[in-house]
Amino acid sequence: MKNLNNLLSLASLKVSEEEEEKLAQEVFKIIKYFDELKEVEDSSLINPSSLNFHPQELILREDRELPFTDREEIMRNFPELEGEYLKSPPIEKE
Amino acid sequence: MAMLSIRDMVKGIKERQFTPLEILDKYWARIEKVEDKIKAFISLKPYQELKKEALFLEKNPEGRMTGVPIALKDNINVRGFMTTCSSKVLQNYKPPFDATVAELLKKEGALILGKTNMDEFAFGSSTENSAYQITRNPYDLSCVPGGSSGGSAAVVASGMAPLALGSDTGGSIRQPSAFCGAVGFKPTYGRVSRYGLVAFASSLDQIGPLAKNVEDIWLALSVISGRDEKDPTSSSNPPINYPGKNWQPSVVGFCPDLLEEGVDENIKDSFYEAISIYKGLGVTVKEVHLPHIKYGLSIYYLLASSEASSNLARFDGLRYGQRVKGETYNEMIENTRGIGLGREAKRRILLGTFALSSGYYDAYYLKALKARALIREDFRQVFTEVDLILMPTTPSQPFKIGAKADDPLQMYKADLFTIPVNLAGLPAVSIPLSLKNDLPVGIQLIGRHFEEEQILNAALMLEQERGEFPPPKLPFLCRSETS
Repeated sequence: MKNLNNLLSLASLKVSEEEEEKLAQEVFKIIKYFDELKEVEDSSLINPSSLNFHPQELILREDRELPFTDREEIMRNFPELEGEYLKSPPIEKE
Repeated sequence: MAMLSIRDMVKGIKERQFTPLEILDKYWARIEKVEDKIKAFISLKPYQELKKEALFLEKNPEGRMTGVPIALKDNINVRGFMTTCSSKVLQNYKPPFDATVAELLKKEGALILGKTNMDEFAFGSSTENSAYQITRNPYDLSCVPGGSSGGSAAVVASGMAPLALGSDTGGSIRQPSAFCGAVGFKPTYGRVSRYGLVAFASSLDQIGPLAKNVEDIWLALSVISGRDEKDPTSSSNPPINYPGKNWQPSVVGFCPDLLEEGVDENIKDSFYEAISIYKGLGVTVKEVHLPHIKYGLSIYYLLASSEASSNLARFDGLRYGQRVKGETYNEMIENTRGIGLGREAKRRILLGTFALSSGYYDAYYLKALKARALIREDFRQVFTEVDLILMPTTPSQPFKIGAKADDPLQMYKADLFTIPVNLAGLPAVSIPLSLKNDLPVGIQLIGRHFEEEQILNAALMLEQERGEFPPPKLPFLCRSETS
């Protein structure tokens, strides 16, 4: 991997050319540091997912309906509104 | 009055020796005097509103934290306050709900003063990555307070509140506590509900308290811990007891090989002071080895960045926060994130996107997950031989503002000793032990899962032997007070 184009697009980030250049230097320097992990001996016997969380099982609750009364507060956070609707730009250019 | 422990403060209020308003006024006067120089708060509630709450609490003093002023890191939702995570992308965002910890504190009568500055989305170890302001270390205003909960640590250290909450993903409570001479506790993964905490790395994040002494930390933990059905990763273990049981460790372990490289002499000196304190108290001190810890930084920055790149996908300018216009939906998202997110946030998102991308996933993300399992196993082994592990909290003392800002890798190394604890989901405390060159040095105690009470007991032992920790001199304060 030589440049950040693909990563920037996967991450939905638009940056200036100048910023991209600096970010690329920093990011690839850090990734190079990560290569030390190649010397860690692991085996296919290690089950990473079983050790990802706490030993206890995840406790899931029953789904149930609860009243939600704070509609106004949520709407106050909308960056753009049209009437009672959240406004978004079109998916494709008009 | 401002130097009272939380227990004595609440007791005094309940016995009508003083009122919540008198306590509030004391701390408010302090804030008016020092906040201008420290810049620890991102937002403060207006005094008149706090006064109303204090008067209400005077008539209703039932809670275990009645009238205790407290500050919360700005990634924890509190209704009526903005939650910015010190990011432009969340500018003006007002959450419509309380985090569970905020709800629990309010229920016990705590008075939430404001929200504290942090590294943007908790990405950093100096609080310099805030999009809004630089917070200063109360012991030396030219130094950083540590991070990412730097604002919370500075609030406690400068006496603007007796208690603050932070979040700890790789050391973000313990490292700033060590830098600011505060006690900071990172509970076991699952001990405290994270509902209402803006997620950074979900397999590592944990909320915890910062305070001046161990007793206050203990009380705070008893209030915020426990099962919450709104956070499926929260544990069904009962909350931490306060007052807790006397449960002193008999064997404490330490890893001499960790001190060989890149650790300042002052830190080593303090560390060996702590060891001799425990020996003097009749505790057996034993050498142990954690062979995979040296890979902790790489493992952590791969996993935490991967999880962050996914968690931060929600900040797209669509439903809340700052929106930067674009001709299409995708353009709006790219523009919003390009402008709204800071440099370190972009670095982490890109690192995480890289580690998870096709062709690199096995070599980086999966490899790091497996190596994490080895670190966990190291700790499991060691904890069959010892009750607690003693470690420095940080490899160096507080550094100057700007000193590491241009070298992310150097900055990451500030988390060397705190990261492994999060990777293994363990509880740990940082407690200030000494001042070297007028700057604090912290010591870290790590315990087994859900054995917080043993850590607290051991921390109390250290605190008692140490005596009162010298508060910051705050030169600007002394001048104005004498004039």
